[in-house]
Amino acid sequence: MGFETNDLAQLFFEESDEFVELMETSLLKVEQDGADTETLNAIFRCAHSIKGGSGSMGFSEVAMFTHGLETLLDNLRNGHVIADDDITALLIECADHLKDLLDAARASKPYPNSSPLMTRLEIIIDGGGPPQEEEFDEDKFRAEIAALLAEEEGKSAEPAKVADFSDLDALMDEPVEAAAVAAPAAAPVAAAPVAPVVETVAAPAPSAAPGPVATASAAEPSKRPAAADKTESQILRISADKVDRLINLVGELVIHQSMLVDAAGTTASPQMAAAVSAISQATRELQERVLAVRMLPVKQLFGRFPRIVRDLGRACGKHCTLETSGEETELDKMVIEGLVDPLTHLIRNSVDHGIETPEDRIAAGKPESGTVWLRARHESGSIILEIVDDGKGLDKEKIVKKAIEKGLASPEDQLSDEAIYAMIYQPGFSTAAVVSDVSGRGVGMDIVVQAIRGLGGAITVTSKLGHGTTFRLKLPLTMAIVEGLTVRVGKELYVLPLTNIVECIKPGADDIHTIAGQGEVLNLRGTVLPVTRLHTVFGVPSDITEYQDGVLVIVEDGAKKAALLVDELVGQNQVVVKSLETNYGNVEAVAGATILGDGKVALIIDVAGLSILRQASAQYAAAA
Amino acid sequence: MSTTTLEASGTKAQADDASQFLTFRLAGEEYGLDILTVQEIRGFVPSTRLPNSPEHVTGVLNLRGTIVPLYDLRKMFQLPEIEYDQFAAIVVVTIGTRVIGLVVDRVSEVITASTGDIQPSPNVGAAADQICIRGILRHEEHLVILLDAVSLLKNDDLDLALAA
Repeated sequence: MGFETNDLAQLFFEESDEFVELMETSLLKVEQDGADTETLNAIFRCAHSIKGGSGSMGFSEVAMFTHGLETLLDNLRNGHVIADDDITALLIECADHLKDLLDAARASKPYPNSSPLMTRLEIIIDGGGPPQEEEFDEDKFRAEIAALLAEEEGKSAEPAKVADFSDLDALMDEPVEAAAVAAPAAAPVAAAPVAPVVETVAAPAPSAAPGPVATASAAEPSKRPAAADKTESQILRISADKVDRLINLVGELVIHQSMLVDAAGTTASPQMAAAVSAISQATRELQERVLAVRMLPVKQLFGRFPRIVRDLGRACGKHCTLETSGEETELDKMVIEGLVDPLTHLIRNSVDHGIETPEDRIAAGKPESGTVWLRARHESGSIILEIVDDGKGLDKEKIVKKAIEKGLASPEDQLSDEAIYAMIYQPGFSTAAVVSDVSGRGVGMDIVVQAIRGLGGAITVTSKLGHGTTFRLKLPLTMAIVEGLTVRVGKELYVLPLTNIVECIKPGADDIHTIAGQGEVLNLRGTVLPVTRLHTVFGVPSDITEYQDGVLVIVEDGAKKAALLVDELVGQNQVVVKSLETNYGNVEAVAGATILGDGKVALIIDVAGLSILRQASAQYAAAA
Repeated sequence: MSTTTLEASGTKAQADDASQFLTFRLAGEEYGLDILTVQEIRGFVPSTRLPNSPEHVTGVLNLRGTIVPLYDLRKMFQLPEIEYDQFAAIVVVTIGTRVIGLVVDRVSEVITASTGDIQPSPNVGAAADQICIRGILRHEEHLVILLDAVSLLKNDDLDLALAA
């Protein structure tokens, strides 16, 4: 196995990032709940692993700093130093600094100055317990690594062990120091984490058996490293590209399989029929499994927010904690990546504009410390993410006042709550300007809404003045597959994403009314919805001109609803979403394409992009 | 058409600054495209119409799992439209990072020509104007109109982020 030094360095940085992240999470836990031995041990192990790795990679600055940090952590573990708030804060600073050091090492830039922090560490170490070695002693350090290796040599014989830095050390030393003889099992085990750079080496046979969890990308930290949790299943790092190619091929396979089913249906001998049905089953399962490879728990995504809430709360002089639930809910990696910015923005908003100052909270009879909840759960084929705060809520009057100022509404308008809250999504209508005096952060809610829509999701907001605000995001499980309703329009087939569909109805002659002789509306059990003919939208010749001859599909995008006339409903199935943009460009009201069972292409309708729904959103403007 | 032989003769021809072109017919005229841009040739199959798109973009096709737009060269060059027969072909070309299909009447052959043989095109005010035409090549007893694949897309209304 030819390992390149920079491959090892890349691996080191990836693992270190995970360790620093874990360290940070643990430190925040210490800050909140006080220090317990287990957490301190976890932090210590992180520092220790980074020290070992950076030492062997030749990043002595990182090793030296981590060594100092480790010494303090050791004192904490031994009880020589007590973890009070100051020390925890110092440790969090140290974690930040460590991150900077690692970034500098990665970019081969000059290291930031560690000495002020080192001095502070030393003062505490000196004052708090028996003197420890303060200088970085290369010989001693080497000896420690050797000891570590010896320890690992024994451990790596365990077949199901997840590779961590210790294996890296072992690998490093194999060519360099003949002294370190890795146990036979060590080499194949250690190969697993190097997968992104080396051609994916088959995982060691015993561990590959029942459903090994594979992560979709090399860049995304998978799950917690072994040092933190020995019970994790074995992890294989694969580049997202390879997975996508697999998904594409499996998609093709599914199409050919259904063609095979069609062909066999007409000529089938019993043997043939049995074989075809077996292939169908295997293909379907294969597709499910391959798609599951891209799914990751939202835990990682949520993991970054406690820190943001803490820091922001301090900066605004508010007491605020973040509570998360449903971290194990799985989402497509692409969706998770696309959620980072909008979620960060929403959570910042909640702390910045939602949660009140401690004085205000006490005055309002609330607990001094505010809470932001971040929840994830499954709901009928979608993922629901909720960002809830117990802050002051949105002030409808202020929003309306602002909307009138901006010409988005007129004083006579009778606006529903939904319509009022939807105003904050308008470009240039920053929540900051409305709800508080704190300046906005450059990204308005409109950007958040766009990002969520880009992911195929929808956002709604509800609020109660004085009690808090809830942002509710409805997201598809994956962007690669859409549960869709295939509809016929003229001679063409289109797919409507099921997440956008409310219901389908067969309209009666008197359900449709014209407004001022031009716009048409559907009276749906008392609710009035705009209605449009899809064949005119897409310019398809169709025999159906009257609404009662076709079917009306009621679609929604967020709070906006409309009815679309189609000729016929064809069927409901999962379709693989293909990009039109890769080789062409954006097409109005088309979200993408998919390949049907017969190999033909059908277009997926972008419900949010239909002009009838866009007009619905423009109604506020028109009303002014 | 064997790729190996193409490459072999390509290397030989390199010496006198020659390129190879795939030639095809459109309304009785012979056109040519640099062979290096051509990915593959497929028989003509009906495609899925793309609504709200320029007229010459006739639809999209499934090319082993990727969605490829089809450009009708007859429509692009405002040549009379015909019902495509069994000789009609789709020339799949790679332009930058994009893969598109060009619908042609039929594919002819691969020819080798040195750059010196290519003459600038006289401006005759045709729809396939100067921008798309790289030059005119005299090959044996007929003229071949050499097209520039990149410019075919530049003429497009859509904002095609060309990587070329």
